[in-house]
Amino acid sequence: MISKAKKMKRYLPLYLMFLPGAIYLLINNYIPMAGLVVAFKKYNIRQGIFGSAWAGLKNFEFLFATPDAWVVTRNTILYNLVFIVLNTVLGILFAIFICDTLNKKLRKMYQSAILFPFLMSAVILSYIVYAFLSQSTGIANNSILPALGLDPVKWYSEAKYWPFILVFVNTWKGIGYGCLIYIAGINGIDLAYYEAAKLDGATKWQQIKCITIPSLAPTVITLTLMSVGRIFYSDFGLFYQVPRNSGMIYSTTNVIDTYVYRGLMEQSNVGMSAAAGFYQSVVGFALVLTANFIVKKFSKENALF
Amino acid sequence: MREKPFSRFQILANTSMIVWTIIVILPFILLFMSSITDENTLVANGYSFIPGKIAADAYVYIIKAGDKILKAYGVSILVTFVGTILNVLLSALMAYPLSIKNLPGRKFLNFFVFFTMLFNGGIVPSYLMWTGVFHIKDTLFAQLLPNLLLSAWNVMMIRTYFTTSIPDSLYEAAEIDGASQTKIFLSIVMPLGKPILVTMGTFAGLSYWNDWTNGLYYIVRNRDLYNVQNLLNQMVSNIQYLSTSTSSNVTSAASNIPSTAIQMAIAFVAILPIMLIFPTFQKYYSKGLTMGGVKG
Amino acid sequence: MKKKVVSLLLVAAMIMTMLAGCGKDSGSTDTGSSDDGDGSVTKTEIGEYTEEDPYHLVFSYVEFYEQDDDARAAVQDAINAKMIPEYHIEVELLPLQYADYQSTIQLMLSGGDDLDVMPIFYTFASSWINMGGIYDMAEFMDTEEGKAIVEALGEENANVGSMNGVLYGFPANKESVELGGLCMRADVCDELGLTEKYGLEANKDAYDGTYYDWSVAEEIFAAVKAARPEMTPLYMYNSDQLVRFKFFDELVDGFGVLDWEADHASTKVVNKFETETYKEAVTMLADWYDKGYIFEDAATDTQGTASMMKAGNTFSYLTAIKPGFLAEAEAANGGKCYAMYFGDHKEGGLSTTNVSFFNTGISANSQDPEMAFKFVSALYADAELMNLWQNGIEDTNYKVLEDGTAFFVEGEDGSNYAYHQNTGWFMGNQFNSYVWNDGSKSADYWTLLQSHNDWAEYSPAFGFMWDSTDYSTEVTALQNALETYRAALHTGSVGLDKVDETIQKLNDALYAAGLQDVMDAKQEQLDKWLAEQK
Repeated sequence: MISKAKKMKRYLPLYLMFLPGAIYLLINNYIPMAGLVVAFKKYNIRQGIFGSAWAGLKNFEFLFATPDAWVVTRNTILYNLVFIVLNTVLGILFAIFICDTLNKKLRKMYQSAILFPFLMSAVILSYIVYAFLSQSTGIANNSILPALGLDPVKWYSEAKYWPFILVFVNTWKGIGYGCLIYIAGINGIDLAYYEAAKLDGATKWQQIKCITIPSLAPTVITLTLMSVGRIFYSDFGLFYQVPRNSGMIYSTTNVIDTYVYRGLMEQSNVGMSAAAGFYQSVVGFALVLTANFIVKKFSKENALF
Repeated sequence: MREKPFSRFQILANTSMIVWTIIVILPFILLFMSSITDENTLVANGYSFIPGKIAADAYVYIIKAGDKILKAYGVSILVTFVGTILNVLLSALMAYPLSIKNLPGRKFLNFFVFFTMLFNGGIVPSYLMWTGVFHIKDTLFAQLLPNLLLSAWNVMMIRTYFTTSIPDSLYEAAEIDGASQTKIFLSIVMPLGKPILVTMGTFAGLSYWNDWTNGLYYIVRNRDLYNVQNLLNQMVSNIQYLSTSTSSNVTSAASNIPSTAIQMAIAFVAILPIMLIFPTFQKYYSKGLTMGGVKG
Repeated sequence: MKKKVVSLLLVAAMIMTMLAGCGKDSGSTDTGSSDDGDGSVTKTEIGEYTEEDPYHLVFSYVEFYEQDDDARAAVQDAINAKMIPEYHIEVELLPLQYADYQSTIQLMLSGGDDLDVMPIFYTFASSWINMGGIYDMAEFMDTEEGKAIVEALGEENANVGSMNGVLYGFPANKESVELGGLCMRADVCDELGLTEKYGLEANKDAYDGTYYDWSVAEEIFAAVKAARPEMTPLYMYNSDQLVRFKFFDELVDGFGVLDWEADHASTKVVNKFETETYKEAVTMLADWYDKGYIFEDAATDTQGTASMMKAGNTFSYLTAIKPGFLAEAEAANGGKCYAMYFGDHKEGGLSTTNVSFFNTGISANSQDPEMAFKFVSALYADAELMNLWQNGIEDTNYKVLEDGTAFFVEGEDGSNYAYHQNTGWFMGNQFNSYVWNDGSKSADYWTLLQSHNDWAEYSPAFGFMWDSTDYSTEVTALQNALETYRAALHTGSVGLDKVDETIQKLNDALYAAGLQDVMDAKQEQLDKWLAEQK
C-alpha cells in the first residue's frame, strides 16, 4: 500500500487537470440548475426565482392532464429508440466501410459526406424536405411518383408516412456523429490484431465480428447510455420545422418538446417550461441509472459511473 | 490494408458509401440550385435540380449586404477557432483523469460530469448567471462562453476512448520511468488520443459554427457581434413569424423580407467555408497512428 | 476524496451566494417600481433629472423593416438633441427582431436589465402582468401626460389595454376595424370582365359600405379557374385567416368567444368551433378547396402573399383592406391590383384585441416609471418625437413635400433607404406624424384612415381582457388540440366529405382538454367586468 501522502502526490495533478472543466460545469450547468426550482413555483420576476410563491405540482399538470400527453410521450420514446438503434448500427457499418476503403480520395469523400449534413440548419432542411414533398410543386409528386406510375400523395396530411420520413431525415443528418466517433475508435485499434487474425486465415467478417465490434463496444455502450439519458428530449428543429407544423400529422410528429412549445407559444410561462424540462430530465435520469445498473452487472468497466 | 481492391467487401463498401454520398449531396445541390433560380420561377414551379431560369439576384443581394456578412464571418471564424481549441483542451484535460481506472473518487467525478447532460436549469438562470455575474452581454464572450465551451457528452466520449485505446501498460512503463502526470498527458495521452480529439474537436467546431442561440440570448445591442447563423436565423425566422401573423399590418411587413432564393443563398454561403475547409483538414483523421508506431 | 467533494461544494456555495446577492440587488432596485405605489421613493433617492444629468431610458420596439445601424445611431442622437433639453430624458433605442421579441423581453425582464418602454403583444399581457413584469400605469392617468394620451386615443381606447384594473399598455393609434376581402390581379379582372361587372377601380380601396357576399367570390373564382386553369384562384397559407370570413370576439385566445355574427349584442361565451357561423365558414372553404380554388399547399405554406403574387400564378388573396392599401399591395406584389370588400354585414366587428394588438407599456425594471411614462406620453403627444423615431431626420432621411406629406430624400427609395421604420401602426400615435407619400396618399390620409373606424361596431365585450393565468394547463392543451385541426379546417384542405367529422373531432379534443372550464371561467370574468362597467 502506498501511503496517503504519496497517493495524494500521485493523484493531485490529475485532480488539477480535472479542475478547469469542473469549474466551467459548475458555472455553466450546476449553478443555473438551481433554477429548476422554478418548476415548482409561481414565477414572479420581482420576487425572483427563490422568492416566488410555491405552486406545488401545478406547473406539471399540463404534461399529464391531457389526452395528447400520452401520444407525445409515446412518440418521443419510440423515435428515440429507433434513432439510437439505427444510428448505432449504420454508424458502425459506415465506419467500417470508410476505414477499409482503400482509395484515399474516396475515403475523404465519404468522410465529408457523412459530416456535411451537420451543417444544414433545421429551417433550411425543412425547405429542402418541402422541395421534395410539397403537394403542388414537390419533386416527389411531380417527378418521382409519376415516373413510378403512382398517384400523388398529400404528404403533409398523411400521418402514416412521417415515421419513415423523420427517421430518414434524422439518419441523414445525424449519422455522421456516431460514425466519426466509430472511425476514431477503429483507428485506435492496434493493427497487430488484424495482422494476427489474417495470419490465422480469418475472413473479413470474422475480423469485424471478433476484433472491430468488441473494440467498439465500450464506445457504443457510452453513447447508448448517454442517449438513454436524453430519451425524453428530442431535436426540436426536426420535429417542428421539418413537418412544417402541419396539424394533420401530429399523431406521428408531435413530441414532448413540440407539444410544450405549441402550448406555451401564446403564453409566456417560465414555470411550465421549467416543469417540462424537469420532467424530461428526471425520467432520463431514472432510465439511465437503470441502464447503467444493468451494464454494471455485465461489464463493470463499461458502466458510466 | 493488404487487401485486394476488388474484393467483395470492397465492392460492397464502396457501392454503399457512394450511394450514401449521393443521398447526402443531392439536397446540397438542390440548395445551391434554388439559390441561383429566379425567384418567381422558384415560387411558381417549386424547387428543381435544373433551374428553369437562372438569376444571380440572391448573390447580388448578399454582396450588397457585404459588410454585415463579412463581419459575421469574422465573428464566426474567430469564435469557432478559439472555442474549438479551448474546448478540446478542456475536454482532454477533464477526460484523462476520468479514464484512470484506480483514481480515487473516479465514480463521483464521472457522475459529476454526466449529470450535467441530464439536468439544466433553463435559460433564465443561465442568463442571470452569465449577464449578472460575468457581464458577457453584448461582448464577444457571449458567443464563446455559454454552453459550448465544454460538453459533458464530448468529455465522456473522449474518456471512453482513452480508457479503451490507450493500454495501461504504457502508463505503467511511463511511471516506472518516473514521468510526471503532466508529461504522461502530453507525451502519451494527447498523441495517442489524436483520432478522438480531432473528431470531438470537429463536433465542437461545428457546434460553434452552427450556434445561433448564444447570439440570440446574449447579443441584443451590438449586432456587429452576430455570427453567420444569427444573420441567417434572423431572416428565416422573421419571415416565418411575419408572414403567418394574424395582423394585416404585420403580414404586409413580411413582403419586404428577403425572398426564398436569398435565404437559400445565405444558407449556402454559411455552409460553404466549412465544406471547403473540412476536406483539407481531413488528413488528421487518417490512420497511421498505430500503437506499434508509438511504442517503437 | 471527501476533501475534494467538500471543496467543490464550497466553490459552488460561494458562487451561489454571489448569484443570490446579484438577484437581490436587482430585486431591491425593483422595489421602487412595485405597484403599491412607492415609486416616489426611488424618485427622491435619484433626485430630479437635469439637462446635464438626464434620465437614461431604454426604449425597445420591434424593427419590422431593416434599418441601417449608423443611420439609427444618428437618429438616436437627433432624438436626444430634442429629448434631453425638453424632457431630461436620454433615449436609447433598442430595436428587437419580431421572431425573438418575446424571448428577448422575457429574459431582460427576468434578468433585471435596464428596460423602460416596451411593446406588449396582447397574448403575452396576461402572463407578463402575472409574473410582475409590467408596471401598472393607472396611477399616472390623472397627470398632464396621462391626459395627453387620452386626448390622442380617446377615453375608450386609452383604457383598452387593461386587465383586472391593471393598465398595462396603450394601443397604437390606427385603423382598428379589420374590414376585408380580396386583393385581385387587375389584368385578370379586366380580361374576364370582372372590372366592369363589379365596378372595380384602380386605387379604390376606401370602404364606402359596398360589400359582397362570399358567394360572389366563388363565382369569380369559378370564372378564373375556367379561363386560366394554370392559375390558383385564391392563395391561402398556414395562418389563421378565418377572421377574414367571420368575425368573433375571440376574447383573447379564441377558447370561448362571442358569436358576433349571430347576435351583435350577445354576451354569452360560446364555443366558437360549435357555432353555425364557424361551420358555415369552414364548409365553404372545404368546398372551395375541393373545387380547386384554394392553393393546394395552403395548410403548410408560409411563403406569404407577396412572393406568390409576384410569381404570377396566383389570382387573389385574402386581406384586410383599408384606405391606402392598394398602393402598398401593388408595390409588394409587383403589379396592378383591385380590392373588393366581402362579408356578411355592412359594419365590421371590433373587439379588445383589434385595438390592442400591440401595446406600449412600461417594464417593471424601469428605474423611474414616472419618467418612462413621460416618454410613453410623448410618443402619443409629441409629433416631433414620433416623426424622428418613425421617419428619421428631416432632409437626411426624408423630406417634407409641398402638400405636407413626407417622402424619401433624393436618391433613396423603398429598396435602399437608410432609415424608415414605417411602423406607426405598431406603437405610438402615427396620426401625429407625416403621411408617407407612396404615390397614392395625400396629407388628409390620417383623417381618411380614422374614418375607416366609423364602420366599426363595437363588441359588447370591448375593453374586456381575459386573465388566463389560472388556466395555463387547460390553455396549453387547448392550443395543442386546436393546432391539430386548425390548418386543415381553416384552409379548406380537409375536404368537404371530412368537414363535419373533423369539426366533431376538434370539439371532442377541445372538451377533453378542458374547454368547458375555461369557458365557464371566462364567462364569470366577463360578467363581472360587464357589471363593473355599468
